[in-house]
Amino acid sequence: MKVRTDRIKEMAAAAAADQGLHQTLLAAAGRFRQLRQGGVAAFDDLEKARDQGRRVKERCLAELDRLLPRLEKQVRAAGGRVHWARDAAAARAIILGLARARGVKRVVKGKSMMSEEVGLNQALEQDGLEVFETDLGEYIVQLAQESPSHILAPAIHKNKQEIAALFADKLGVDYTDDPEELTRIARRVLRQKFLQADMGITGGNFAIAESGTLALFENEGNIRMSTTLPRLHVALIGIEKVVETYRDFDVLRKLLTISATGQKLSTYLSLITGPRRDGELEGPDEFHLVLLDNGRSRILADPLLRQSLYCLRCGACLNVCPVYQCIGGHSYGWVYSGPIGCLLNTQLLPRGQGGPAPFACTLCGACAAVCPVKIDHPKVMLHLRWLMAEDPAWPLPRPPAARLGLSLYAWLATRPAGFRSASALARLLAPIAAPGGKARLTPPAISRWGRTRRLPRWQRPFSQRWPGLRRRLGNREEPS
Amino acid sequence: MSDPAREAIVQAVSAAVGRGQPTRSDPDTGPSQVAWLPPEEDWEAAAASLQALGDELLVIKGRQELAAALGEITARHQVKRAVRWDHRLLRRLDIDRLLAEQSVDCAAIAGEQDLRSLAAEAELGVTALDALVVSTGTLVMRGGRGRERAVSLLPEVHLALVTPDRRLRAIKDLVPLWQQWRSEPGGPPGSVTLVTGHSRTADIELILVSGVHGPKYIYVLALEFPWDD
Ligand code: SF4
Ligand code: SF4
Repeated sequence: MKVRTDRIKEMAAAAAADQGLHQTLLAAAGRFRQLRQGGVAAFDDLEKARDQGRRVKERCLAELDRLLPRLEKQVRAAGGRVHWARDAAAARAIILGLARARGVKRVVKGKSMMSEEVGLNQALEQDGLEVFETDLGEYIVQLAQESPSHILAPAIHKNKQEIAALFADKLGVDYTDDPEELTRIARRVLRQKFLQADMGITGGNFAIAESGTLALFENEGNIRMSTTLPRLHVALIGIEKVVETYRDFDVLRKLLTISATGQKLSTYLSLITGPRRDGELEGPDEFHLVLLDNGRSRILADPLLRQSLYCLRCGACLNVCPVYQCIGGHSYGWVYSGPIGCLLNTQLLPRGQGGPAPFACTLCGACAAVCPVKIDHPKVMLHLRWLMAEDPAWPLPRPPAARLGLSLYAWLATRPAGFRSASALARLLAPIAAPGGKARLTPPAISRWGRTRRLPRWQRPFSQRWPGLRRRLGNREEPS
Repeated sequence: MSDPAREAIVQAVSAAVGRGQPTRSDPDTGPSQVAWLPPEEDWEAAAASLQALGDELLVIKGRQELAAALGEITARHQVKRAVRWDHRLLRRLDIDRLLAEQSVDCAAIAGEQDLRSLAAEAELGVTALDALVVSTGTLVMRGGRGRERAVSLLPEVHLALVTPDRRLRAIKDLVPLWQQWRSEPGGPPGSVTLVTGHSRTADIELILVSGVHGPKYIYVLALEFPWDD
């Protein structure tokens, strides 16, 4: 997927100005929040479950160097093969190599952020393969030659009229904007693809090391199709998806579905251990698990950043984020969006490329409050800002005027007498320089910054105003 | 095993986690016995869970009721062809004959070609459950020979038979069942599928649509009679 993270500002501005999109985003986020809320209300002791989930992720990642070889051993014991990919290019090469060696012509895919992350579709298509996304939302997005905009609802940015026109144009069917009818059309078209495909590619929500089992959640059934019908199944997962035991998995699976859609369980959960066995009549002849690092081991090494890898991709943080709801998924410029996107894009892309997304955050903490594994997004966000500011590789604006201003502030802040006189001076000048709190004369160096901000009201410190305030409040007190 | 990428990744991960202080697993508490519900318990909870999902559970008290239920369901969905698992329960109940009485062609999957042509054309797929989780209405099915996944996936209607001794209270009760399967020779089954409700999507304007890729209708027949005589 093309990286456009450096353009977040213009894309966000355009998205925020698009009223239709804005309404759609608000409606979608509201609906998902409502679904989650319904599930959470019926959930026994969510706080305890979140703590448990966090602990499971902490432990499994701390043990990852042992769990990965164990997973490999078990997958092999079940007759599957394991491939290791250090980066996106390696993952593409492995999967392309498999497709070539096995004479694959048609590929069906289940929803997978991983395949977006490594840019798999383009690579396969350039090699002359036919690739079909089979999750309805992903299929729509693929037909439109766009990219997904929400973890759970990839085509949320398109309304049914747009989808109707798209189907009429690309599939040659009669125009209908009835969702039932559109779904039936997609079912019919994709059913043929499933039956003809040689290779199914999926991601994976968890990989259980003790048994070599891949766990896949979905509501539509396309992942079941992709893992049952084609003669090859390739699953591409990040190394952080490994858990140790089925019990660990059980802790996380309930958090995942409740946080995503409020469901106690998604419609389908497939637990897959290796390919078809002797004497069986269905299932792929070969099962390949591709383990992708692509920057994850680097994230793992930082004790504070590591929590970014706890993410279950439930999407709950997107639906509560005021920024995401305003600018939508595409503005983030790469695979991941919303709060978790701010963290992952910046860390997974090469240094200096992830764009300024961590700065596009109000630090309100709504994301951390819903995250099922208690990722502290604002804390990580601040840490990333600091790392980025310190590292010249990041093309951040560092205007000398701002630097000068901040140095001056730092100097003043450590000198109480100077600070007091400066604030007194500011109080005196405020009515002239900034009537009504709006700066009139912003120096050009910070004028862009100043345009969207109000100056603080220059007042005497609260401790000095309190005696007067108390007198006034006291006067208003009701006689008892 | 001398894959340089493998070595590099495991080494990088090992360095990142600062190997030296192995963390302990959370103590593996919880029962190791599978907590099957007592067979005499009623089906109300399970029926309510399935209903909440938009599906149906019917309690069947005898062979005649079974025939009647099959008649009703096949008529409702205009079923002409059915596929089924090659499963002892289904053979003992003579599902093929019962369906034939409704002029429905039913056959077990016998070969791979069958699977693709039959399952893809049948309107009805008949399976038997390894477990039914009553609090969520979840159908648990192991895959394997005679238990093909495609039967519960390709046809528009899925009919699942279950006996009273195969019920679990909650999803977490699957943990000991999984552990039991895992300790069997050959390890856990190649596939285990959990089905909670019929196939659905809300990908177009968040409007819920049923039956996008998998079945649109699910019926669970709860067999409350001695079928094994
Ligand atoms: S803290 Fe930042 S990322 Fe999280 S919800 Fe608030 S604005 Fe969004
Ligand atoms: S960061 Fe947390 S809330 Fe956001 S998608 Fe990941 S697990 Fe869900």
